[in-house]
Amino acid sequence: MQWVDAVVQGVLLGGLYAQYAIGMALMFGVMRIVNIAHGDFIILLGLIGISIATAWGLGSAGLILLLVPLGALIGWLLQHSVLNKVIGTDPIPSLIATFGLSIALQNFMLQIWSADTRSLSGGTLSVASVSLGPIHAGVLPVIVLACAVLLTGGLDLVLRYTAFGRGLRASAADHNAATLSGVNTKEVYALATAIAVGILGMAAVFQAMRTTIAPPDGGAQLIYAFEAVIIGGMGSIWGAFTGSMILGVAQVVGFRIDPGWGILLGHIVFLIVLAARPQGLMSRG
Amino acid sequence: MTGPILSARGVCAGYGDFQALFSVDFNVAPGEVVALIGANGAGKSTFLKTLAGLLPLRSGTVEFDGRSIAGIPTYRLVGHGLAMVPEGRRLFDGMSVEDNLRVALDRARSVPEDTPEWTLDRLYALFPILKEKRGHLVQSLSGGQQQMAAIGRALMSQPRVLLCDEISLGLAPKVIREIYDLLPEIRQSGTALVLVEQDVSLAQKAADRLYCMLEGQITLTGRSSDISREEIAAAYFGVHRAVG
Amino acid sequence: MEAPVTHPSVTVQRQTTSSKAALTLAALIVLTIPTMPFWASGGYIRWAVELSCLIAIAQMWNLLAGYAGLLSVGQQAFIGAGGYALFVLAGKLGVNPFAAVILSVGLPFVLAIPFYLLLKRLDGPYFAIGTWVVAEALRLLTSNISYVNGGGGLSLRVMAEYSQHQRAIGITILSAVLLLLTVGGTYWLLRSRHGLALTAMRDDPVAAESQGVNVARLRFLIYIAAAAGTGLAGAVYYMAQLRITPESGFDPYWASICIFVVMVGGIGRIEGAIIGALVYFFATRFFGQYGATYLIVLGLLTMFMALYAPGGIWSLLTKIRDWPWFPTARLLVRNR
Repeated sequence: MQWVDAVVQGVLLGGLYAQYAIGMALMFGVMRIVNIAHGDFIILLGLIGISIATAWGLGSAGLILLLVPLGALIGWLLQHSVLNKVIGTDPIPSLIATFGLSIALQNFMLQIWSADTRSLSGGTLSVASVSLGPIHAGVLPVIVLACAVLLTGGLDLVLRYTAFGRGLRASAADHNAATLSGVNTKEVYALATAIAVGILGMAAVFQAMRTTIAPPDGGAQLIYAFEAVIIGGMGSIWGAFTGSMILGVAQVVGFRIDPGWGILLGHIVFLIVLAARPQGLMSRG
Repeated sequence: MTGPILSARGVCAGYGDFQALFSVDFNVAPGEVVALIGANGAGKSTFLKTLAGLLPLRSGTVEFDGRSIAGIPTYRLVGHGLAMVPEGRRLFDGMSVEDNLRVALDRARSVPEDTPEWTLDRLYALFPILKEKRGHLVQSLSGGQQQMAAIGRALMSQPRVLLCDEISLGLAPKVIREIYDLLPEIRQSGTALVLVEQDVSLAQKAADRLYCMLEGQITLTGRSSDISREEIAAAYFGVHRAVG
Repeated sequence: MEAPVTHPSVTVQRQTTSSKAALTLAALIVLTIPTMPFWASGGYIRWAVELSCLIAIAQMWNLLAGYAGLLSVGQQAFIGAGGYALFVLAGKLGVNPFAAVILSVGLPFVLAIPFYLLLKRLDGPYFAIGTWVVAEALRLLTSNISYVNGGGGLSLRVMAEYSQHQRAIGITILSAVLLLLTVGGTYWLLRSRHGLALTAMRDDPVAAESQGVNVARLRFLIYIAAAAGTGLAGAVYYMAQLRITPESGFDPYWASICIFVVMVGGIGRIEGAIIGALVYFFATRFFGQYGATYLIVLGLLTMFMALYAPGGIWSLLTKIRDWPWFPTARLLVRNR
């Protein structure tokens, strides 16, 4: 029974990872842009959220409403001021540029918030739980998972059926041809990055409520998001979601075996998928 | 007599240190079909890219609908009705035929009441095969079908001028004829067509007027029906001779 | 009768005045380092050792990213592996520690083979983050192995058997060997018959492939060579530190250093990695006290270099004057 429970908890943890991963699937898989600072934005938004909550006593819902637009604005600015300068050529400059940004951001956060770990109090939400037979699940993780499902489904529909989604896919497939079809590719990319970082506004609040955050944690979040995207299969939003579930389950199961093995088992599953099915589990290729 | 919808005066352009166009003059009237002919490397495609705003002007002016295009991004020109079928078709791989068409349709200008609009239905009536294949990924189409999709995509922008770069390249003669037979239908709604074409006789048949380019300059221009094969050959290969 | 074709008499010139001066200076430096224990203070010896490690690690990253197009943010995997191999060989298995440094290259070398076979399935940026995952996995794995004291790390107590002076002599010789192998080795490689292939690959991998360069095999070899060189630097560095932990040996900050040094100095040039290492080393000595603020500047500088000066300081310098230190080109000079 404890293994069934581990899988349930893993899927719930995967809900959090999915919120990091779908934004990365959008940038990484669709636009082929690498943003090394992806994880640092989660931490930055989380720390801003904690400071605001402390200063103004804002609740978690209010924080999400505030941080999502803030994240979107950061993403839009990032694309326009940095990433749009290096798209179209090889992906190396965007990787190096965002790597530099990541180092700067981490140390900026250290400067402002020090290296302490912090968290957001979720009030009664943090302790409430639901039971289904012998399986207990926290209400908060269930909400996180539900939000992840909605975000994934919503983003997938947007990509498939909206003018923005078609414009984005067209720009990623052939930049010049998209321009010749009337697509303002730079603006479409900026909107996509705004969505990717905007989602992190929600992820940040949930992360801070579920566990703790500290300035140097961004690298780990980046790696989890990346592993989820590769496990699921590049370019597929639902793939990233599935990858997140698998990663979450691997980590929780590993943790139950030996606390030192939790994160490591996640990495090992990623490497096994890379060896056995490098195109990802959800990819048709 | 209506003024030209698209005109170029003294256009110079190029890539890096290489100048490809030398003072090119050109114009096309609404509903007119003109063809640009010339040997490989004569500057036809470069000129088309300059007209579409993909290459910056070194000097000279290009006016579309009476306004200079200098400094206006390409996507905005497309939004005003200056569309292009790029060389090599350049469809969006990984997307269905209909999604390819919709990318342009999503961003098309609104057309005035008196001109017929290009809708998916009207396009499918013109190219029934595209309707049949509308859910297929574009990379699964044959070359001719892909070319139809590329033309269709450009038409979805509701063009007033349609620039076509080598639309017959690499296609079977039968398919080329099929595509060229549809051009009258396109110009009928007032759309001007600029065809870059390697096949001189095809160009002469389809176009009202011809421009012949050689080494980045226009060496001959006139009504297709007035120009003799000898004159074209002279302009095409650069055998200089007094004309007229 | 046709007139006989006269070929102008030419010589292939592979050195310039600046490069002769630079090579002489480089040889002198390599020869001087081992004499340091006899005239320099302990502080300067530490500087020399650290700077040698820095140059070696950066040069190996430059070879990977600048020539083979393999962007790695996980070279700390090999630094840690080299360091741990030394501590196990010398501390646990009783191998002479100075010989153990050289033998330590074996572990990163052996690890690099399966790593590459796995990671080559990821291209460009995906490869980069993949290398990071591998390094993280190695760090966590080491933390879980009780034989190497898990997260607590190891100390190199065996060094206490040697006097301060003996240790200094050993480590300066090793530093000189490290420089010779990594910088000299890279220079030799670029001037060998592989050199043209590597330079072609740097400029355009697809074109190089079509010209008969076996890009895949060359990348594999470079990856392994870089792993070995980086591992050697790790062993030398941690011998000087006398202590290693998974957190320090496999610290992702090593990757930041590689990227900063090579991007600021000039990617794809031997001179670039050396200039970048000097800039980083002395900037850290002077501004390191500002801690996080200094690192913010470092990060932003890396970003601006990537956006506006992708050739780094070296390419800005060559705009002023063409004065190669380690020329890899062949110049044809007409004989008089």
